[in-house]
Amino acid sequence: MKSIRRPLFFTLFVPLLVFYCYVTLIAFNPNVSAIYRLYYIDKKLLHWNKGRGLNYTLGTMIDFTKEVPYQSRHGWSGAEHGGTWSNGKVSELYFDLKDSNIPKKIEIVGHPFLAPSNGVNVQGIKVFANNEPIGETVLDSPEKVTLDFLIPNTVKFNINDLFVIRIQYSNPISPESIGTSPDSRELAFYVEKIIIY
Amino acid sequence: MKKKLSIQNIIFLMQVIIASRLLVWGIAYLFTVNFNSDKLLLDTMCAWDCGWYKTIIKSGYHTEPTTIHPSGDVANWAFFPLFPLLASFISAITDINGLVSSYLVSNISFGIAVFLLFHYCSALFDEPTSRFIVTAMAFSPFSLYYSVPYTEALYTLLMIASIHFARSNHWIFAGICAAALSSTRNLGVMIFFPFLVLAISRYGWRSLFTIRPGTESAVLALLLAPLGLFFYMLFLHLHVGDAFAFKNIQIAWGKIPGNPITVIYNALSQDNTYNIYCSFLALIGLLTGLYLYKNKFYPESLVIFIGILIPLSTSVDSIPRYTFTLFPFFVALGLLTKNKSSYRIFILIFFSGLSSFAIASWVAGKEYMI
Repeated sequence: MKSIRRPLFFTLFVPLLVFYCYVTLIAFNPNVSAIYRLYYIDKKLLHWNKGRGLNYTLGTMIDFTKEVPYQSRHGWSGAEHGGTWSNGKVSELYFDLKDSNIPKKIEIVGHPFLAPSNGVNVQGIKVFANNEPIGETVLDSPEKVTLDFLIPNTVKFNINDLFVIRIQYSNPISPESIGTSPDSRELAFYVEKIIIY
Repeated sequence: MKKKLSIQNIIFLMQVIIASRLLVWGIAYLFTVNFNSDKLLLDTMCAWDCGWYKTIIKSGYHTEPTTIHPSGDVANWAFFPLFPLLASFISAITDINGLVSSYLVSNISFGIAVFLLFHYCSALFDEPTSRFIVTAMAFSPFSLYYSVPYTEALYTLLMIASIHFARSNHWIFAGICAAALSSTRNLGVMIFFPFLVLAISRYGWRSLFTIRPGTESAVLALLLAPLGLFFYMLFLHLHVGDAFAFKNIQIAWGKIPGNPITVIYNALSQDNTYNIYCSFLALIGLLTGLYLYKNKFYPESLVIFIGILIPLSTSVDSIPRYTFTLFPFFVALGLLTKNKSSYRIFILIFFSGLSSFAIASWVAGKEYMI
């Protein structure tokens, strides 16, 4: 009995190991849609939106007074009456531009969070398109502004990949930390709408 | 200390099984008839996660996320296949409906688990302690989960079988049970670690890792442990394109892994009775694990730690159910009350009373019973 034990053992050992290696390999190479990957695997997307996808047609206004399907999981607060507050240092948006031309400009409408009496005098905003910086500005007035950022030809586009806009804030701060309200969100910019041309 | 099961013990165990199930079903029936009379008993007892198992038994696994939750991002992939498969199999060969079959799987599994737990305890403890441990498990406030269409009964049975066979050096049987365990619940694969502890203590790590002659069965058992999980992963890859879908879908329930210590600290800091209750019971469970470790029940203490800490990494929800359906908890209770029969009597009375409350809460659909 002992003389067949080891050969029998290796007869099972090897196929089991091969099976586990095979399944591990396919597990790390999922065959899923971009929106599934972004929502469930990377956990970067905020809303599943019933899997309707992230299709966007250039020139369409994205209304931040409603749930926006393109929002990243981190970096945004909930939609409010007039728009959506950023929450934290970075906010992202993901778009599927498969059926569109290459975008040339991003328009962002909103107003910064400032509290001059508490030392929050300016709010810096830097915008990236597909990881490349496309512009930055410093806002020192709480008034509503329209910010235009041109997308240069150096920004790389791949028809099969998502178009990612990243907005970086220099001075996000919570009203709670400066004693103006119990709001603990790290506010920087109140976005009313965004349009990509 | 291993003994054959005597006729007296067989009768005793049957009495424990029958009496405890009469308590569960009797109270459930009384509360259903008097407070929830628009539903049948079996439908009343099939609550919360049972609904998900029903979807699997009826229509199989979803091919994409569904709108069962308003967010539309949920699917039944988080619920492992062995339990609904067994229910479907019984349903197919007997023509009994899927829901009734699932009750049969749970209750039969529980009955076998009681016998197996007694057999396992008999090898380690004296007869009064073994009897107390199975009775405590059968009458515990969370024993209702062994009778409803949840995986608790099947999971407990396979967990006891795995550890018992491994302890008694029947590694191939242990490995087969472990493979079944890893297809019952996502944590089942973690039986690998108690197995490793047992195998190292028996053979030494050098012999084990170099697969010296005589260690083949133990190594095979270790290799078999993940088999159920990997089969499920292969199925999910073919079915939905994502082998990790069982884990990734947890986001639909707001479960993102974090630090269990942070989770428990946050839960205790909140002004939320349910979170405080779950956290408190989690701490009791962890203390139980430490107690078992101190008494050199290393595999059993690992079962407790893994069974609490991994779910705790996402939230405190359902921690009482996860903790107090783990058989090592009752082993610890038996050890703690050794030679203290009055304490044991008190515990059993206390358990029965709490059990009644738990069953009533379940029938009433209370969320703290999820």
